[in-house]
Amino acid sequence: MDPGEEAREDKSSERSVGDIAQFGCSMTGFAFQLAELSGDLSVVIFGERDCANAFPRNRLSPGGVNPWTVYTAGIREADVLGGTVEERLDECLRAVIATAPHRPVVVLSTCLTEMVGAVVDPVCSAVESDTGVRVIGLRTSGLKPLSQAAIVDWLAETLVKEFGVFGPADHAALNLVGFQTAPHHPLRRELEEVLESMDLRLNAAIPLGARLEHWQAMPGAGLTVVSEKAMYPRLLGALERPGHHVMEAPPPKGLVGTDAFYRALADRAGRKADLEPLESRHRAARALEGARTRFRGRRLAYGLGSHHNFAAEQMSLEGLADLPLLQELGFDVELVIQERDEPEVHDRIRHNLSLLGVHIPYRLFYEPAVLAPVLEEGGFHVAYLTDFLSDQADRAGVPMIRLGFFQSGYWGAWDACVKLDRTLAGGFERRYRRYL
Amino acid sequence: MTTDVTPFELRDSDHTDLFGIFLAVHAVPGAVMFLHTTVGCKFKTQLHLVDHDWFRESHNQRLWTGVDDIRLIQGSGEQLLRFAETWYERRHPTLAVVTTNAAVELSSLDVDSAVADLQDRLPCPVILLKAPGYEGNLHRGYRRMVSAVASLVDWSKEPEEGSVALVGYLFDRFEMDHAANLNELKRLLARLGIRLRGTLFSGEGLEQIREISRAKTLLLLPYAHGLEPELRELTGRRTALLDLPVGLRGTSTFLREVGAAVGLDRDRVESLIDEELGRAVPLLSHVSRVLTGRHQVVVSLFLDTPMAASVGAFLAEMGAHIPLVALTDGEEADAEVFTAALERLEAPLASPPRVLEGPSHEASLRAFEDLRGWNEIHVVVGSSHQRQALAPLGARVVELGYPSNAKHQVYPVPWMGYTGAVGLAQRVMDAAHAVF
Repeated sequence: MDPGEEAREDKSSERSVGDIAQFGCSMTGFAFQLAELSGDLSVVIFGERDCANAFPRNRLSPGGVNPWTVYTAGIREADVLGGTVEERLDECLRAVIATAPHRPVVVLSTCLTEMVGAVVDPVCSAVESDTGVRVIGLRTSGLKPLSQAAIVDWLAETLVKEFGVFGPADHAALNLVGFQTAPHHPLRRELEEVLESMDLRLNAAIPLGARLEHWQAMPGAGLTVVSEKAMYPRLLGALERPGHHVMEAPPPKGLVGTDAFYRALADRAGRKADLEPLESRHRAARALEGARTRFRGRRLAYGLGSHHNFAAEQMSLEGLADLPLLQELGFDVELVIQERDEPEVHDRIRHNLSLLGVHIPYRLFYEPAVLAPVLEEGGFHVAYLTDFLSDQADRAGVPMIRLGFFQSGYWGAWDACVKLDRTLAGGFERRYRRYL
Repeated sequence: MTTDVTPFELRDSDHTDLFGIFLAVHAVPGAVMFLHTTVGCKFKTQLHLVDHDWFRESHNQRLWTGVDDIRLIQGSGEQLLRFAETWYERRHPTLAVVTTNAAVELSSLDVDSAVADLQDRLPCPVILLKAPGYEGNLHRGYRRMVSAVASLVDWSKEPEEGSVALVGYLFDRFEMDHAANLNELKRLLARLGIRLRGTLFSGEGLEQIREISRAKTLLLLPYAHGLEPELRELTGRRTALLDLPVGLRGTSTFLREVGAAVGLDRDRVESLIDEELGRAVPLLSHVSRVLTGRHQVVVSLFLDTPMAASVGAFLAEMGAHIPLVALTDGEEADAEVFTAALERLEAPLASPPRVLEGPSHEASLRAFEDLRGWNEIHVVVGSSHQRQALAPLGARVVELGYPSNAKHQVYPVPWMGYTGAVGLAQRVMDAAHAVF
């Protein structure tokens, strides 16, 4: 069985996790995510030079602060024909380690090296044995597309198993998995404030914005709070041990959702959640009260099935984490899903949505270029879509907010009101639309 | 065995032919690429253009045919046929370009025959351009597409006296810098009584491109120099090998060589050059004073070989000190070609710069670090990669060429021709003064 395949099935819920999204290449998925660990790890892409283009380079060093520590084995035609791909990998690994002996190495195989049956593990073991540097070989590729959720889980399991420091669990410390918790996200500050009021401590937040030290720290927490258990069976398996507990909590979206999130944390930890004094909560409550009046009955198209960016925080609940926020704001939400219009597809979608407790209508569009008429037919006032669908929203004359732009927590609820007000107002584009 | 890590480090551009072909497909509205590869290759195309070209969405010009392990084992030709026929009906492209990767090449022996079938079945031209990820580069891929499209033109038509076509214009986005460049060249040629019948490529569709058959002389820019023998034989037209028309001397040399190729009276060309210089030089003298003034400005170039030569020659004319040139075009980076072009353009360099041929990203940063002890203003002309990496080190980066993810041109300012010389000088001067 392919290493990622078992994660595709969530037997407990009978839902195919990650099914309402593009399936992807596991090498690409790993590269996308590991790019954020540039500087902490050396990553070797065991394939042709072009495979090093399978992820955006601007992720390698945001702000220009980290070195690019992704490398290519640069497999050549001569290596394939001459049967020397493993020798090339060996050479590459030794050169990389000679340059940075302090960094562990992750090797990602690719379609080509998998096709020619290149054997990764013996090379990694030999180099590791000679150098004393940990070298992890992973049989990734695009030969068997996996759900993005499965790839995210596979990576998380790998990092915790390989780098996690297992010791006594701190019961006042918690991990957050799959939330909008990058250091710059407003949720992070709000969350730390709330946790402190409950005498709790944030141990690690992954995967968004996490560095290797955070992955290493994961086993140190007594509680892991996960946005969706079904998305992380392998990670949770790796963390499982006596004294460690797992709690599922939907992302804190909207006022109601954020209250529920913090109260669930408090209940689970046996603490009291005193949320009333929080100024951010008051501000969100005031904003939502006014917004509900303005947004009630407005038609909003919520796009699914197009995103392909391996962003874990956008994947939980099949990408529907923002639905409660938008419904709380009074929108009449309808899903627009990139899928084929075939009976078995409808069965699958209905089944998955039903298991998520989502009972709203949906429309299908079979490819990005034909979304515009679907938006026009739906009479939508605003659309919440993957970035590359913006041309379709423009064509349909529907103002758009990019999928993933809504934030979490009380701050996120207030911010959503501001974003939606601005978008619906339309501003310049609405005023001059006839010229566009 | 070497422990030199440089061959395994990433370069600013690790693109192989695939992205160059895609860039050219993007430059021809109505063309589509059938990406007959495994799924991860999707990311090697549009992802690298989406931030560079804000004016034209590129996602819908690339259609992935859905190759996976099972289809590779069974033979993927049938899948390609079915997919292409279905999508022809949906899109009605004017040109279909089929590309394959190394994994498909190794396993699917039926692709060539499937493409031959498609050439019979589809009403539009169908081109097969294989693109294994271990060979070629962006410019070679673009060149292959230029060659393939040139072969679709009916060259039996009688050429028109005094008309030319521009071949090898690197049209990488639909923004106003390219529109301004092409208008400037048209303007200058028109002033010589020369009609520009078309450009490979300039954002025009296949029907307009076919008009180049009327050109009597083909003007080959550096990116197409390698096609000269082939194009001469294919077209029966006169050809002229030219440097990029950048800067004062660069544009004047371009016009003289075009005049000679077309058979114009030399005095007419010199008269035009004199008039244009009379307009541009007084403006540029202000900039020259800045570049050679009390605070010597140091300009480093991180550009492909043809651009580095033309921009370098121009800035040297302006009095800039250029200590470092990184030629970023990978395997095509050639210090000898660069130096020869500087000599042709009579670049007045006080001392030869340090020239790096196709350095890795990290190696080029190390070379820049070596300059930092100097107490001057560091201006860099390069891509978004330099902006991201060097701006935190104090460099003032003029984004030029591909990719320019932050510099977008909504106002038509060229960087070619005499007007372009003024425009480029303005940008360098603004960078030196850190004003926007």
